[in-house]
Amino acid sequence: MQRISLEIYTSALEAVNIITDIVDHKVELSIPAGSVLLDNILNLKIILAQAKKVGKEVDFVTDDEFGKNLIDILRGEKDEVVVGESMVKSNPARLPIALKLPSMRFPVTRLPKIALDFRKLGLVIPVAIVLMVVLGFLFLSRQHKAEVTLYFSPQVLTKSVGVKVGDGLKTDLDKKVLAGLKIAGSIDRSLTSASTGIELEGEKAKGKVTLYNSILEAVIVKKGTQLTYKTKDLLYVYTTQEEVTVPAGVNTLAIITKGTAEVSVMAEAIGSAYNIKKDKELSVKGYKSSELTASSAEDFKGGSSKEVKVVTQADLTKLEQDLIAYVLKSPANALKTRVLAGYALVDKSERVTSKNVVLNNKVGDKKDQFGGSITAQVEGLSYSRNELADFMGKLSQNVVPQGFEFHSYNKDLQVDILGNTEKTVLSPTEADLQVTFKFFITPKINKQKVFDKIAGLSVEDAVNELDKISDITRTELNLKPNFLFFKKVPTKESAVDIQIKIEE
Amino acid sequence: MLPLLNFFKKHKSDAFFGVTFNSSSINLVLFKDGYPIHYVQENLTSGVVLDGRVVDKEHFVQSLNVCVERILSQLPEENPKEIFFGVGGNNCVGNTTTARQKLDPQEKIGKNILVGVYKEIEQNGLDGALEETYQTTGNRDAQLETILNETTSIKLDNQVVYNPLGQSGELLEIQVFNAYCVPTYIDALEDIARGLKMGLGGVFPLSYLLFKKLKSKLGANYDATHLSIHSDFTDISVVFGGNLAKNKTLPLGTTSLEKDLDFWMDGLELTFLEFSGVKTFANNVYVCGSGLERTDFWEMLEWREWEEKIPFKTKPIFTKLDAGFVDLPQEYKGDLLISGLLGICKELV
Repeated sequence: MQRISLEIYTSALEAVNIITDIVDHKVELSIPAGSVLLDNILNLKIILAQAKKVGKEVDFVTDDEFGKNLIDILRGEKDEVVVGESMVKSNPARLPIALKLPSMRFPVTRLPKIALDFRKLGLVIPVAIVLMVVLGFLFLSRQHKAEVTLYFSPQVLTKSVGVKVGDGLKTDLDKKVLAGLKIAGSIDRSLTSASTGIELEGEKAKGKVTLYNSILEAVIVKKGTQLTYKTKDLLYVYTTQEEVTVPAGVNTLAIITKGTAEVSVMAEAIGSAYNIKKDKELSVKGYKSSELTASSAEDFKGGSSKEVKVVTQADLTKLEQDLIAYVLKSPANALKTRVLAGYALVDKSERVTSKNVVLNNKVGDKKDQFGGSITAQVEGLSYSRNELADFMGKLSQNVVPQGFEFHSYNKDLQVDILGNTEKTVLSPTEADLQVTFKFFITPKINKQKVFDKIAGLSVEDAVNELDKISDITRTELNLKPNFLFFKKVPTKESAVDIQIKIEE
Repeated sequence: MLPLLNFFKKHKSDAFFGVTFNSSSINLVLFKDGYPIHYVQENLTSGVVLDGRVVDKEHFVQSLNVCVERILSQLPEENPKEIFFGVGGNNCVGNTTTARQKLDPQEKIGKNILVGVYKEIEQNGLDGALEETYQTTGNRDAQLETILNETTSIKLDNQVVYNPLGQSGELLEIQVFNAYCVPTYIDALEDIARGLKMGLGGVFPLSYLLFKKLKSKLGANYDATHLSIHSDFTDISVVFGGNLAKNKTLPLGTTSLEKDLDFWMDGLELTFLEFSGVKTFANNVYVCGSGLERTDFWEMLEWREWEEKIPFKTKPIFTKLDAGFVDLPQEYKGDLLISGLLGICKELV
């Protein structure tokens, strides 16, 4: 049999999924106290039915008081008689309530008959008056009470203790251990950024050149031959688009008539600067200008260029770093909505357990903006604020100095983390905290002694006696009734109510 | 006890708020003369409401206040002073209790007899609710406070009468629907109303409001089965002879339904089997709530052979309740349709 411990918020569906994934066919589910599954017995019944469907046998165990009752009810139902296939249970206690009330008779109280003898009234009346006075006195004596209120100013004590909070730990006052609750959440963050890379894109200029051959033999200019147009500062290179033969120059009477041929060229690079005008002189690579030159035969056209933004590796690296930095900077954000009401997250206990960065673009993408996202799983440790306050309250009662008693504690606690050191830990499952708390103490008053001092005294004397008590700020003494014979503090202890009040 | 006898109380005609909530949202509706005139839906941060219980009152009041302000900014002439809460699931236990009293036919029925009968109903209703709470939650020491008791039928010698006082007969039969919540739950809602500077008009079981509404449409003796699907749970009610006979809560609602429809259906079947003392279920099943847009939901409801295990009279016919059916404007759908039922709660006060 495999034992599985469920979390407090494990739902029935999640529990069924856990059972289904287990290899053993017998499973013991340990349900924590306060689990949502224990809100309704049907959760347990659904788990049993679903487990049966997949051939599993489930047993429940819990420390929860009501949960134990539910498990008993379930075990009781297993023993119920099932008639045929209908499964309709025959528990008379759960049938609709249809009352058949018996006819009601009200008892009539008969009063004793009083026979009055008017002849004896002359004696009866004074006796009755005396009796009434005596009874009245006795009644008032019983009602005679003193309410004494002693007021003190509380003294504040501040203590600081180390407390270990841990998921799965049980609260133990002696060991200064407080039950914690590990919580998990996720952060999803998307970022976009401007691309920093710049690339030129456009068309190459095209045109025709006329080649001038001064050599006395024909020259074959191959396809791809570079021609260069030179300005003051820059060189513009073009390549021939086909092979061409430039006829030989002809030497006539010391005048060389150059052989000419036209050939199409295209700029090697993009840009409108390559759109040169007609009749611009170009040099031909591999030939001296005295041998072979070229001249643009027309205005070159089609050259253009513009700058476009591109995503660079540096951009992607920075985005990834920014996304991770966001997660690492404030992992607690992921847990804010996961902290249960009344609980607090242990500061800096959060850990990023996994993270997945997705970049929407790659290097070279021509985009002004690029983006990415990160999904990170975060765990942290939380504790119940009320439980910690109660814990400190109980703890403070043990450190009251002699002669004083505990009065109350301040629920505003200062909680500091001790961090990860050789002796202390800070993680999503366990954390050492330093909790500083204030509590109020008052002098220990022995009510018996107070009573002994004031019993039978007049109000004035009693107040004088009470004012002598050390550390007292003021006293109140009320007698009820307060007339005739009842102007002194009763001598019966139960008739004197001594209250200690703290004026903060 | 006295409110039980106030059958003929006059109702004021004024504006009031009705609110329903679950772990993820609040629906607030402003009613005037019982008719909804404006509504607002607001999402809730997780952890504010758990299992229908408000655990973070401060946050809840803030969110509800936003809803109130949004409505009143649209309708500044309205000045509602009361808020009514509709509740369901395990947070509210309801039962119908019947008492029969043999009478001396020579004597006229006096107030004393009625008070005695109602006292018995009150005690038996509470006992039944406490037993139901124990059977559901295992809490044997639960405390419950009445949120509603409405006389559903008074019969004298099997004839319906509206006021038995001064009449005579042999057998008086009185039927009362009682609903209860734990006191801390009501205290929390009272605090919330106070936080909004309003009075708590009442806390009403939503399943009973649905029953009342359908009774007015389908007749005084209608038989039906109701399914109200909420975010965190599903309320199932059995109506027999025009009386809300039994309620059960399946602790799986739209959230589970959307994750695993089969699982929810299995849970529903199991809950039907949990109704003790119900010999047959009416085959008219009226369904309302959220998550009903899925077409496979209706297909699975139709295809499943419910009658094999559950004693339906015949194969059940599932009908989706739309706004028109319960006299609400067309935009009232899903959770909001259920919230719209709070319009009748002033009639029950």
